Amino acid sequence: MSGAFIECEHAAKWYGQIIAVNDVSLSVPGGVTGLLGPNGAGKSTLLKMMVGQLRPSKGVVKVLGEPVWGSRTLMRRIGYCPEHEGTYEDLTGLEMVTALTELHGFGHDEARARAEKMLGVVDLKDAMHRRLGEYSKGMRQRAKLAQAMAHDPEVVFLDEPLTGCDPLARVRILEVIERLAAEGRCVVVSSHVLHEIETMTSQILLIHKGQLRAEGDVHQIRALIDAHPHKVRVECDKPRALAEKLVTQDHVVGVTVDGDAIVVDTRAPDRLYPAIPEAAKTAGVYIRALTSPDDNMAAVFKYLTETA
Amino acid sequence: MSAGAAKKAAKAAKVAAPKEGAILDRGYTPYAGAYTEQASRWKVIASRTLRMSARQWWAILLLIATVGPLLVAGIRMWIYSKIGAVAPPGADIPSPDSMVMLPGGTMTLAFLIALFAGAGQVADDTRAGAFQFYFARPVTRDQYLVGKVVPVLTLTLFIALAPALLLSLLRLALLPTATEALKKLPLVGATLVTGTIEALVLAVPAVAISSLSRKRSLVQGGYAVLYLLPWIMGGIFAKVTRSAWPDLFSVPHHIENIARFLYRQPWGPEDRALPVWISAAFVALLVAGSLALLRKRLSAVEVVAS
Amino acid sequence: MTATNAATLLEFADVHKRYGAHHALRGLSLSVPAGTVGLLGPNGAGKSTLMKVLLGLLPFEGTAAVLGHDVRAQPAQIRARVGYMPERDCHLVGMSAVELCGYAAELSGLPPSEAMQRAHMVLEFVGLGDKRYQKVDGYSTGQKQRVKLAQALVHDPKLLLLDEPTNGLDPQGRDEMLALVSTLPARTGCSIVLSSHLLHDVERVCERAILLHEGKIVYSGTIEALRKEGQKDVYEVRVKEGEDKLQAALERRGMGVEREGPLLVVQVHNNVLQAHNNEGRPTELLFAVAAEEGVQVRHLAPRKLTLENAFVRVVNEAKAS
Repeated sequence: MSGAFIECEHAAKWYGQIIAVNDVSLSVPGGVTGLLGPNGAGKSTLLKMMVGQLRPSKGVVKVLGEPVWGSRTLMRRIGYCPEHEGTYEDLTGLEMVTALTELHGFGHDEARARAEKMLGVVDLKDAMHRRLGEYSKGMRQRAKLAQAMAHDPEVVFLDEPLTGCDPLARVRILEVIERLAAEGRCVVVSSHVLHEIETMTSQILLIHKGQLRAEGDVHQIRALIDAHPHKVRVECDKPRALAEKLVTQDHVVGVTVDGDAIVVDTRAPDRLYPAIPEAAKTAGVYIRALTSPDDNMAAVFKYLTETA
Repeated sequence: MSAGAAKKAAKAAKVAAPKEGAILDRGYTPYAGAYTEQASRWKVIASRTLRMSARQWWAILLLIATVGPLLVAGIRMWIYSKIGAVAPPGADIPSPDSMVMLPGGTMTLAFLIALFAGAGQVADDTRAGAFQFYFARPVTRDQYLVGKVVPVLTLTLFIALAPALLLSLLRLALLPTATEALKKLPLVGATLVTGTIEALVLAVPAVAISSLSRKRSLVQGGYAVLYLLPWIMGGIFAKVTRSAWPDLFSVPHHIENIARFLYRQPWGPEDRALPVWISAAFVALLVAGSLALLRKRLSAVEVVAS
Repeated sequence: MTATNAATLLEFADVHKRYGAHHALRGLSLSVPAGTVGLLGPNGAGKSTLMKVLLGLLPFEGTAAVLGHDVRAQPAQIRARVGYMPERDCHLVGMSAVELCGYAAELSGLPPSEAMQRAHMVLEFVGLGDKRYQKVDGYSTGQKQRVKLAQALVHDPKLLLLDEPTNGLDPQGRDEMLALVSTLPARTGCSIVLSSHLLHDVERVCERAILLHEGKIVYSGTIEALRKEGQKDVYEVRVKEGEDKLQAALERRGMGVEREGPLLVVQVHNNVLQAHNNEGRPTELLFAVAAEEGVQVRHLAPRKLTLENAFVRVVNEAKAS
């Protein structure tokens, strides 16, 4: 467990009879980790516990080795970009970020310098002297990000960081997140837009009905899901010839012909993947593309949340 | 073949001949029917608003508070007129000289219903983002305005006018002779005009103020202050300074002024009153100004969020 | 602009819109056929202004026609034929879903009885059949989005204007909403204009795209054509393990390799193929190298530009010029 930035040990949170988070134990390494879950699954409760805003009813939530609840010093090393905006309409972008950075224990001048730098990083340099009330949604989003990172935290929590951002802003923010991860920090991103998380990382935490359903590399998790055979789609010039070769192999559960491609279902992907190019070579088939339509976050999410 | 056997054969033939199967997709049906007149869309808004307002607790309460005393007064009047001996001294017996009905108790109730009904109208819609709903459809701002003002006005009219009018008519009916009744007819007209003016001046500004804020409570507070404060302050200062001018912004004063003029019931020697034309002008300005304000606020609303 | 083809969805000619000093739309000209089209652009590019012009809510210069009706002459007719699903909530206080949709239909011109019938029908269609009598205030986010779609559909519009339809939905909700929206043209015969920053959604639903930048149109055409301008001879590869090994092996053989997270983006030039006797068969070479290194290939496909990349490229080009 050493080297883990965030650890939960049997953490739970209930409100009267309703249990929002139920006996969750996990550990989050450095780099970017995606936090996924349906609405109402306990994701935001868990996130708030990790940020130190909620006290666990049971168990302990540790960040950087220490329990995070009530620890002022620890909270200075954490950055949090919440989903919903506060209302600081009358402050300028720079004022807002400076003020919140000061709260993390920096003097005014240093806080201001850091705020300026971070606002430049999120490309709000021209707008930082304008009131937040005049910002578009995407600009507010970037301002929130700036305040989450200006105090140079080791652990950063981002809740839906890309909402309202146009694709250009998205690219910039993704670059920032990549850089944070490359610098050795831990970034936890919670989002409903799964293909966005996919571009950032393959490490995920999936919460469903208050419980942790999956943890780790999404492809390895996919491999563990037995109930759904793996699909591999092969576009080639002679689909039926290839199909013929593959269907005889015992791990293949089904082959479907789809236009100029075939979709192969298997319960043993490790055996299928090497077998495909081999079979193609033997049969004299040229493969144009090989893809796995359900070896992605969306499919893993779907499979794990539909059965429960 | 006998008739019975023929029938049986025909029935068998019907059962035996298979009908071609058909699955009817009831998922979505296009609309190919008629459309209502564009100009009458305000009625849709008005009727819906009226229905929803009438369902509220305050509407029911206020309507009961209006109808109840009306019934009681009417019945009493009828009894006293028939059996004069039963009436206590100073009671309300219709006679050729007693055809006076001044705006009294119902003005408070009318104010209250305008407050509750009017305050929510535009404020609720602003908060809910309803303008996106209305104006992305073939509904113009004017139609929306009329559709919102008419229900509030209707409810206020009901309280401000109906009891007074009904009682006036009842008095007329209970007068001893038909000629006396005819002589007093203009006073029914006075009731009509006073009631309408009262309703207009209470309802229209309420809806206009509703367009100034998203919060219903703020609107209600503003409306109450706008009406009660000048009335209270005006009353106090008028007594102190012995002049009529402090009452310039007091709406109840103006309404009473106009009513007394129409009923030809001058103020008492102790009271100070402004000239009637000033009251009329104030009332007209207030209503017209409210409509203009409301229309302006409506032109500024966002339909597509940027 | 007299007789316009009824199948033309939007026909704009040199449309300008100025807000005082701010020139929001600069000489917009386009001709969009019926179908599904995505409306894209950076924040502040003029998308919402365009939508307002489309709905006949703003005065403007130039000529514009929607569904064959001139915007200046017949704005109310256009709004009777267009269904708008706004980004923000638009739920009137204290109404049930059925009441709201019935009201919506009546406001669009349907007689009360027809309005009620269609309200029920359309709520069933969007999957809210069971909850339609409950007040909308108590609905979940997903249900509120569906009600917004229902009120946009209830008057049988020929054009649906959708503004961020998957706002706030969880992955399952997004999936269901997009699936529903994708079936709309076939089942109802309407056209769709979808405005969204989530280009993945747009790719899923739309065939065409209009890209706005600073009030001008920088692209108007099919999404396929936009994406096709990908790089030739470039492939993306994902393996189970051993990316570094594979990268090194590929580079040794003269191929240019870039890393994009877990993905390897490989440029396979013809001369490299010739050298390895794989001319015209780049994937064979890639599989062969992978097999040699003992690396399991899980994804191998020609690099196609995603709509996102195309967007960024087109906008950057526009910025530069």
